[in-house]
Amino acid sequence: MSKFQSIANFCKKPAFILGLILASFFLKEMFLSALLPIFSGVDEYRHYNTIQYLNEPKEKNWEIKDVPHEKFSRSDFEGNRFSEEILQTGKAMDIETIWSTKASFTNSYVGANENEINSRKWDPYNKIYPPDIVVNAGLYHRLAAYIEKFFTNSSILIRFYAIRTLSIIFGTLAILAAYFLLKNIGFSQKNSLIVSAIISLQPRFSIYITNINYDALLIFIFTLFALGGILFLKQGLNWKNGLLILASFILGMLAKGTSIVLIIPLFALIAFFIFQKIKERKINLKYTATALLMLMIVSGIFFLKYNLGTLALPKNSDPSLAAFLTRSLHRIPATSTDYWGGVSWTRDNFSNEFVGVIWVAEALSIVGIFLYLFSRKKLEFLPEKKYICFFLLLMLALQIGIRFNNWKITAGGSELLYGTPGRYFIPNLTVHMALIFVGIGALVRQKKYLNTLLLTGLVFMFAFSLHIIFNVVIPRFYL
Amino acid sequence: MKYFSKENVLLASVALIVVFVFQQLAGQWAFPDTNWEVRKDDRASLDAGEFFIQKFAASRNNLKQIEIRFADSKIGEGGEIKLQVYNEACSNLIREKSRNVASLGADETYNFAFEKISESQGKIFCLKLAFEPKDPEKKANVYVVSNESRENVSLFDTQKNQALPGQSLSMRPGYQADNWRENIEELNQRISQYKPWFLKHYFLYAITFGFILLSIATVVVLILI
Repeated sequence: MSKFQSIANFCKKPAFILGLILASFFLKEMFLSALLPIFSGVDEYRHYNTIQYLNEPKEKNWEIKDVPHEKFSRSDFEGNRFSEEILQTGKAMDIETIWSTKASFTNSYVGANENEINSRKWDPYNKIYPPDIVVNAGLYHRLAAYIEKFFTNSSILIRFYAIRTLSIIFGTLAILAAYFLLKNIGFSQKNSLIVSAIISLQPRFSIYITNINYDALLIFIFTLFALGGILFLKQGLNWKNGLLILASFILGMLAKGTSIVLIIPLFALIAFFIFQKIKERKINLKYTATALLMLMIVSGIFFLKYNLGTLALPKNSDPSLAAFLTRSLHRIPATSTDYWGGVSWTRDNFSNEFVGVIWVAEALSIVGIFLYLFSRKKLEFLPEKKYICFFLLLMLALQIGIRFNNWKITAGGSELLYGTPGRYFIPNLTVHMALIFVGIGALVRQKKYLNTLLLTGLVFMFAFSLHIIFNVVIPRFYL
Repeated sequence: MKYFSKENVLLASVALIVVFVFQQLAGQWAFPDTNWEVRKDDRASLDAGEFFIQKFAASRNNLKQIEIRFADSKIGEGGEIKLQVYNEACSNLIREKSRNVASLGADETYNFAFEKISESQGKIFCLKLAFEPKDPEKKANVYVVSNESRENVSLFDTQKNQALPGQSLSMRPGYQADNWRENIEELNQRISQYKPWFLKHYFLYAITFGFILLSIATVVVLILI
């Protein structure tokens, strides 16, 4: 065998290609992390302030100014209730100018006030109380707080971007979990790799995962949970998939309240398990009922402790849930545009046209999934229907959770001026992407056509991703 | 026909996409002179057939674009914004760029990119800004900001027939470097500012080129396997 042939064979190995996907994703995210200035992510300053707050000494022996919440005015960045270091760094960088137009640049690799920022002359402590932090800071913030502490003697720039790197690592792990998920539902190895690569190129996911935000961990956990559920449906309950489901559910609850929606697919999986065992006459109904009761009590205690606020109905039900949902309908296109990576950072950037093409694919896939679920013919190259139903349940659960929560916010008196951001639905990206290609596969009904369409989808997402990075993000901040 | 396989079509598409994306980037490649501020100070209207005449001194060679912030304007069915760059005496037209707009908002700026003017440093240019609405009754609004910099030479409003001393349009010129190696180096410098050492300079080069090469390699390998 020639040397060239052996290299070619090595390049065809799934492990090599998976490594290539993960490595290119990681480098892309590091590049995007460098492109996005400090504090430019969604609520990034608040998440970072939460991390700094967690590291504050218990004995607060510095001067603290109490400003009641109602007297607080946040008209500019300096007026925020963040740590002195965040506020002064933002001021030194002229962060408001960066947000509205572009930074002032020097003719070197060092920003005008970068040395001042690196001198660490500001305390990473909140000096205005109550501090502006994330409610129910969880696992992500605590992990990030360790990084913050580890680099405590380094500049805020090192600490901040090291925590962004943590988010990127979670994103990379999410892609890895996505691959195993896709492979286990019945996509061929090649198709699993292609869909994983498509997910890794999705622009909104790519931009969002660079941010300091607990959603980075949440996206990984949701993918793990879906993988656990699929393995359970495939192999039956065993300690591996049981542990994966349980661990991802608990970690999710520790990371962000949104994970409470996983209770719906979790109970569905339990119900499926019991149904099967009763059918096989392997369990007694009396014992099952007792076990279920105990499970409900344990879950009840858990939710009372951690998530009562999330579950509670709003005190004021104006607007009603039905009225709220009706009002939300016209905002769905904006949410979807945001979800796929349509951005208005620069004029005439064609991102909406890219999203338009995806909408056509989505519309076709809805028809395909409908036909697939209600047809008796089994298509061997597509995942089994039970996986599709599980995915639809995951999608539905997140939709219900987010819409319910948004209704609560609206009923609480805070109008959601910008609708529901698409990023809220990114935790289900793998599941969503799998459904799209299953739907399209069900329409074309032949493996070779699906393969071609998958590769076309890959090339399309590659174009969208490159376009957003080089023709939108770079010009927005630097040209 | 033997080259017209699925794989070859997809590979050709990847090549075209890469060329197209970087060509687009090259087309808008201009480093804005951030000493000019695109603030939202005072609004001024720009009627059909009238101009703002802004004279400014270029601070660098290779003047490539003018970026302007317009104020919110009710322009009905829209119209055409015309930007002309003349010599100092406003007699010889050097560059011209038009944009059709359906609306004008203050949240973002509008770039008017043209073929670069190589020997621009130190020269004074006369910039004429006009709006030609489809409905002649409509007018565009611009921002006029106080600007005492050396580069701001003068601003004249033909509609009011008056000079506006110490003021300029809310605009900034953009320049390219002398060659692509310098252009890439300057972009690297800008991205590197306010970044930690592992996202600066050589590390940034490694990350950027690594990402581009690996991304292309990933797509190509997936097409070929």
